[in-house]
Amino acid sequence: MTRPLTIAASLAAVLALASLPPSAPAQEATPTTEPAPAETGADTAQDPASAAQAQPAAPAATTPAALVGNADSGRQLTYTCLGCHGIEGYRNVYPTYRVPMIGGQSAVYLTNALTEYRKGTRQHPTMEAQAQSFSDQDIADIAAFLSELTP
Amino acid sequence: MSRLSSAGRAGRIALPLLFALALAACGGGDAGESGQMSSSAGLPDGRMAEGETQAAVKGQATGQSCVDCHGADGNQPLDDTYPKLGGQHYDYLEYALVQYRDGRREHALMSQQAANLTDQQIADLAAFFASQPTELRDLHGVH
Repeated sequence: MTRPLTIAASLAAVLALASLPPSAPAQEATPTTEPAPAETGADTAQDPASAAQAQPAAPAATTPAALVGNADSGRQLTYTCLGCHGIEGYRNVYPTYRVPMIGGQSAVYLTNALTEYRKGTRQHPTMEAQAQSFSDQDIADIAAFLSELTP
Repeated sequence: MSRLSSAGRAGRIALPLLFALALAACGGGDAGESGQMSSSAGLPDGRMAEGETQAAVKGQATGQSCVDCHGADGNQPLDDTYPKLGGQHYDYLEYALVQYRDGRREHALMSQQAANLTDQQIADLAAFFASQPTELRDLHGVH
């Protein structure tokens, strides 16, 4: 009888902890700069010219609208990544493998990865939870910062 | 085929629990770097030479090889959506390929590329790309 309660209590505690970002600056609630609706494939296919006029800034987006990332903002946002990605040889468990080196990957790859984690189409408990807190602009900023790193 | 247990699916259900475990595990990270490519995921040891050969084999479904898209050393992706693989941790590369093979990570090309790989081939490919020069780094000291 008491066991479910114990589990529930510890889960609640963990979740409460998890909801506190390790670094304060991570949540500078960026104004909701929603990207232009990306699913316009059918429209643009019908009439590229008028579609272009209707959506002046929309490139033929393959990935979530190309926001311009701010690396300085990304620097602040990535303090939260250090707990795992900032430790040399840090290992994920269940299963066990070293977490990937992400500095130096392309901004597009990083943007896609974080966006997929946020949607749940790419799965990893910690990464999905982390990505939940990021806006599209946050993700662009993080990607900008990380992609500029060199070994 | 010693596939990983269905932790992925269970993870969806017990996500908070796994998350708790992951948090609990934070704080360590033994960087114990023994020899080369011995896997903790139940895969055989990786062989770089065989991996290099395998990396150039065209996938049946895609007509592409690993190096066709990621570059000869894994560092010249054909497209910005493809990751750099050179020097990446071999055990992460193994994990990624197993995830693709087992349908727990999806990509139009990679899912097909990985679908028929054996454990040995995955270990070999990971060993090869991990042995290449890298343009990647972890985030130690970047702030």
